[in-house]
Amino acid sequence: MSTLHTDILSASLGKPIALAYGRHWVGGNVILLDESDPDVTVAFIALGRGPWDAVEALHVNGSPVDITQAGATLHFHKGFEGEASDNLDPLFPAGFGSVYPFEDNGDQLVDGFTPPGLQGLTFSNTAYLALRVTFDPLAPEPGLRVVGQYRCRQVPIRDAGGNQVGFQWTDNPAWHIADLLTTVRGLAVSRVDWASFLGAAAYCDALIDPFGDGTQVKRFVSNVAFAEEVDFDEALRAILNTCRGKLFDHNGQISLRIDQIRASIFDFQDHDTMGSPANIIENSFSAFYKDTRAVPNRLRLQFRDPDNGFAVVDKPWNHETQQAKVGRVIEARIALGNMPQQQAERIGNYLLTRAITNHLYVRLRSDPASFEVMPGDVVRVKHDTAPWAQAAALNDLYETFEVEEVSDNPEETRDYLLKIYRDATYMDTAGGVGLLVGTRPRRFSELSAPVYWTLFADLAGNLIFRFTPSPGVKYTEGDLFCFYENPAERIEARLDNGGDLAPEDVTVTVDTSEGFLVGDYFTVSQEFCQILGPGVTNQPPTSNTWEFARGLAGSLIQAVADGALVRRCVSLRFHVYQPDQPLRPPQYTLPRVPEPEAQLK
Amino acid sequence: MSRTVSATVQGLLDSGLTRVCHLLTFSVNGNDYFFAEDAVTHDGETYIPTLVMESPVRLREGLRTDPATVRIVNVNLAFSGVLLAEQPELAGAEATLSRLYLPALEAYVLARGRIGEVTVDGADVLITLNPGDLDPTAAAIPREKYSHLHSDGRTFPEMQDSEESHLFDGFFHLTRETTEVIEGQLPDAARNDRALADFSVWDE
Repeated sequence: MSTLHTDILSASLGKPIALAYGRHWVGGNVILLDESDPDVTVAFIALGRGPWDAVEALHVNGSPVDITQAGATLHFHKGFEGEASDNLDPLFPAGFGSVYPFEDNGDQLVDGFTPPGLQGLTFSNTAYLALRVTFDPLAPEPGLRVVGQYRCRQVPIRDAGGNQVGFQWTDNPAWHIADLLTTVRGLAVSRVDWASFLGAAAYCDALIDPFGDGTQVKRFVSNVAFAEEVDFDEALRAILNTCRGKLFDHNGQISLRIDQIRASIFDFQDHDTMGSPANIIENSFSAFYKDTRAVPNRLRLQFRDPDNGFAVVDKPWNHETQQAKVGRVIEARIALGNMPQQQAERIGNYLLTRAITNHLYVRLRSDPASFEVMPGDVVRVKHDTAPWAQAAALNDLYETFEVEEVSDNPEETRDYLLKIYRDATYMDTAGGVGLLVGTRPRRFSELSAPVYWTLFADLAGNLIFRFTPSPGVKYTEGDLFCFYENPAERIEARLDNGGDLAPEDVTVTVDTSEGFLVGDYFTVSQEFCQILGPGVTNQPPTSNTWEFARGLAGSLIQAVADGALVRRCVSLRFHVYQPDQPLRPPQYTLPRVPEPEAQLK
Repeated sequence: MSRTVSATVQGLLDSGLTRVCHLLTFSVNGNDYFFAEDAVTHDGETYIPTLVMESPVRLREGLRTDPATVRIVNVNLAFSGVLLAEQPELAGAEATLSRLYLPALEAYVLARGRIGEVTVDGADVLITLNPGDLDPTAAAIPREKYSHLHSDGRTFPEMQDSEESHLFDGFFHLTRETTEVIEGQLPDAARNDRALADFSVWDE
């Protein structure tokens, strides 16, 4: 089993078809390969159990594929039920899947790239790519290697009554768990408490500010995939781990709760207090501090960070106080799929705090008055012999606990196992939590740029990046962005502001937007800029007056005369890393040398 | 996730003067069975007063839950006959164990699940109730695979067991040589009664 999803998902024949939720880099499983034509290879690549949502990026043999213009070379079948073709002649299969931007379902017909003479297959319920790869003598690597970034499985979205109100891609863990229970496990919709799932989904989607700097992010996202066979329990746990989730099966219904700050709903007490009768049965109370010396005090958080180009992160998260106390490091790994680092840190804080810091437990037997209390609820406990009750008074006589287990006895009494509850366990703040988890700072300060660097092509066509590190700085990993214009495919416009472009301007008007897309970089005079809108990323701007980001790549923001040339430029990203690191996603493969005339800045 | 309890029942609970009766109901082969600790009639159904709630119902978070056991005492000949008749379908039937608050005539479900083991113990019958129908450790995902299936219907392991050596890797891998074979440029193609893997190209 592998919920260690830091590897690019890949498969080979005989392996299960991956079940992938959220967003992933996927290699895929070659299910048909036709190399009979020396110039063109046809490959069908199974991606995972469908339906999937979209291709976001694709690299074949290390070279990026333009998925917006790929209809002649690329068919993406989302993985719906197979369809019978209208054309009954099997020699002319007609499927072409879904086309960019993949908003339509497309088809699941026998694909049009199926080589002649083969029995056409629809690969029902399997998301797959059909590719025609032209032999490329300049490809960075031999053979056939296809890796892409995908929005994976679409899942049903339901209202509190269980009615399906949507069927779409999401990175919300609540809907992934619901899909596992109903679609994958096959439970009836009526077995699920949909109101609890709806509430959990809203809690996960809520925006928080984990750094305290105004950056708003979703509280929990989940991008977990199962590329090997796992038992259902483990699969659920993998997703639940990404969101502090707990499942509860009672009264014929499965409910989902995201562990969070909550108020006490019941008071247990051994004496009549302030009008409330005693409800702890005599001689049933015991409190104990669980021995945590054998509990893992270091978590290895393993994930890919989508905020950093899906970089593989293997981050030790320490409870240093505990490590000092027991004199050794006990390590446990937790695979989190793809998630932002700040979320992984919050999960690490939660797990370590719950397992080590919150280690006071209580057992007691209550009279029937607590019939409403269920596992997961928070309660308060007061007892004369309790350790927290010594030298305390009034409300301090009560300590707060959450219910771990409860037993309904035949004679109506109820047995409880309670665990200490602390609001601080459920913080939305990234980084080590206060004094509880003493963990090294998560971020280094901003590194100085190299004092000298140059980028050039040698005669063999290799692109060489040479730099001199700043004194005292050790670069182990980083990104280099290059912007260049391609004179052979130059796209340009002219400023049409009706006056000079001022340094403080946040919009710029051009005479034409033809050829430009939202998100494109461009130069105007000596300044590098990026089109931010109006419109959708990778689509043409909806107006000739653009919102734009200025002064990129350290270029100087300055006034520009009206009528000046605006030229589209292409960005290239190079990733520098230590050579002994594991396999990287394809964006870390150096792209081929751009055209010799390319202007590097 | 607290249990929702009516004000009437909560009042009874707070007063400490509750009087309860546990109920067990299940359905097998279209026949409904009602057992209770007392001779009660609730919601129009008459309950047979032979039930004893044997073990507590333990609740915890997670999908793995502990089974609960109930005992049906003083089993008579008629009920033995029922057991005999229904036994093949009894295991797995959904059963509900409830607590009826008699002064309020309100019942609350303690456990709902599948009947597991049924033990006849002298004049008593012990029924194990497995809450939930999930066995999360038994179900596996993902289950679908593209298995190796040969063109004559044999699976890849079957091919391996045969004496034929082959390069057939489960899915069509067309080389130029194979295409020539299929398109009739080699003598072997004249025979149309051979499976694809019988061609010599697979035997390399």
